[in-house]
Amino acid sequence: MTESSEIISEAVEVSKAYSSRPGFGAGSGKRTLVQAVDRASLQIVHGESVGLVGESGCGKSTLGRLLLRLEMPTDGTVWFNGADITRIRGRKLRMKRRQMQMIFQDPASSLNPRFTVENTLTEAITAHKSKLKGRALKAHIAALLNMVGLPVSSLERHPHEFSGGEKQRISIARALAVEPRFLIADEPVTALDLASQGQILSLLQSVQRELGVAFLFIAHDMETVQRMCSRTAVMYLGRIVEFAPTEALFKTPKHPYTHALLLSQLSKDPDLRTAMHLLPGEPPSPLNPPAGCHFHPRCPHADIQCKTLVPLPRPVGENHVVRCHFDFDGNQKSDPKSNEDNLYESGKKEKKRP
Amino acid sequence: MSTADAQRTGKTMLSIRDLGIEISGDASHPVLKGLNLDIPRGQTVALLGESGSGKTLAAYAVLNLLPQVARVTSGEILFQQTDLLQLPAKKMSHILGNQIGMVYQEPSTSLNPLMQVGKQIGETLRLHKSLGRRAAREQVLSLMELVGVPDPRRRYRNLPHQLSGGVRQRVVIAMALACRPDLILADEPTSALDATVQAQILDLLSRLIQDLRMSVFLISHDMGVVAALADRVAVLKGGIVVENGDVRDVLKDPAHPYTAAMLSGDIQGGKMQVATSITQTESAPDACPFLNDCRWARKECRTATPEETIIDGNRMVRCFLHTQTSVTEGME
Repeated sequence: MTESSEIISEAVEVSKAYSSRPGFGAGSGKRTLVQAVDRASLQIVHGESVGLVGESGCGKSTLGRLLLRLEMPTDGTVWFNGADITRIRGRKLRMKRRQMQMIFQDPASSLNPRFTVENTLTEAITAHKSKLKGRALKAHIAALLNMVGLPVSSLERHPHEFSGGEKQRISIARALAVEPRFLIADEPVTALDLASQGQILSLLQSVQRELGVAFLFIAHDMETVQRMCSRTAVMYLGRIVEFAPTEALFKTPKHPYTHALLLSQLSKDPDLRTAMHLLPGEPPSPLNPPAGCHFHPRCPHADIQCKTLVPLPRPVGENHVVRCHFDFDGNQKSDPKSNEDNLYESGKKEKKRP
Repeated sequence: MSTADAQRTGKTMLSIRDLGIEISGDASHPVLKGLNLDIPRGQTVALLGESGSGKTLAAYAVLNLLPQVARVTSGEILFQQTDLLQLPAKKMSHILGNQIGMVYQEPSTSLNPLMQVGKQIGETLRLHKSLGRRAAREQVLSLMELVGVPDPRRRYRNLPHQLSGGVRQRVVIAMALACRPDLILADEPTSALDATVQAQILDLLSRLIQDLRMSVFLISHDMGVVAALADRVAVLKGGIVVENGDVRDVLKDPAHPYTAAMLSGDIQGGKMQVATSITQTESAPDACPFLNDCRWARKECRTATPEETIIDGNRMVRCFLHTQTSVTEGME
């Protein structure tokens, strides 16, 4: 982040709760609230790319949708380019919407199968009341295709004629069609095979570089954000537990969950297979989250206050915010309290290798 | 090691020889073109490939579960000297679940949603080992303990949806192990799991593999999973194995350009080397499957698939870079 930074998109303590009924059908069981996002704050600066990582069901997609106001928050405010978009509607909101776009995970289901590529791109442009017509429109579309690396001959084709990676190129072109300033990519490569993954990531990098678009990059694996993002937020069960410059996050994680996520990355080196690092348990159900710090049942450092008190975001370094009661340091040795702790500790030492 | 020898001495658990599969009506594009793969007793052999490489069809062929549209055109699959492809369905059902255990990718779809998980694990035991209800229950409980299901007595009665993803996958593993099979076939065993849970399941599998000295046929697209579990790895591309060798050799010093590209294209390593192939050019059926994206492609790569070449004694590679002895430069 730079000093001259100007924030394009910001969430201020936003929450989103869905009501749900356990069991089948209506009327069976009591209504319960699922806190999908819990007082999350996030700022994205013009031209910057921010990562959002977490395991499935932690609310990262919901937070993304809140930033674009595809969902209305139950609490908190969402700012876009200086306007509180939770309070504007109609034409004003549409004007803002033009500047923010989304790339979805599965291009096969986010493209209309009966539209040609030309239809898809033209619709995106006209839906936002662009004045482009005729030759200028054609030229714009050709430029878009060129940007995402598709031949002009693909204009007449339908989505099923393309491979997964090519389909994702089409949806990137669609998102870029209205010249947005802010893009959210929700797991854009998860549905693709390895070779296309690399290509699509490179494409997104060049898009960001050349157009200066701000990105929120939602992912479930650390490698992707490490490659793509200058700052990264880690979510656990609806809360942003750590938000920091990516380099600092990887080098000195301040939240035990971030540390555990880093340790669970798989190495491609067969000689390191003995150094497997385990976090006990699994993410609890958001229907019934643990009290206090949501992470405490799995945390090797948890004590009494973690079971009752919700940790609040606090700064621990430059642009580095963490929600943990302790000054956790991934490289420091703390007193082992239990067997689980021992496991965890041994993991830490392994990770120190250069 | 010569495969014929290994087969005779019973050291090879599973031997796939020259397996060809095509999708009916499309004889010009076979999915597998003469796949060769051996799984020695007590070893874990991974078949590594991207989606669409044919790795899952190879697994289904072993299980005799190929979809109707797929047809075996050639080859044999020898499991302890029996050709599974020639086996009648009835005999096959004595082998599946009994001598060959299966771990599928998605635990939520491979379990019966309406049956208690303990009973599901016991079903195989009662069927194949003719155990009574009580004896089966005892064994199931010890199996559940073995795979680390917490509180087995209570979990026994649970339905699959009451379990978390990780515990469900442990149940699937317990089912696969129930009859102490000679071979485990694991198709993407951790792909559906979250990162921290994946690490747990991989740890469990690697411990079981060691403790029980299992022979495992692992199917995966993930080099991290392969590195964590396998002894040997075969890299599948375009229906043929392009490289096959000890997992350390192959992943640390790839001999085939495709393996190298997969390793470096892996985003940790930096930039993707594989060039974009937007318009798929129609190449000759015999061309090298990596032709279009290969930096070292030359004339003969377009017209012929390289033969299996043995390098370093214990590694097979199919690439013209290795058919002549001297060419090794540029393989960084």
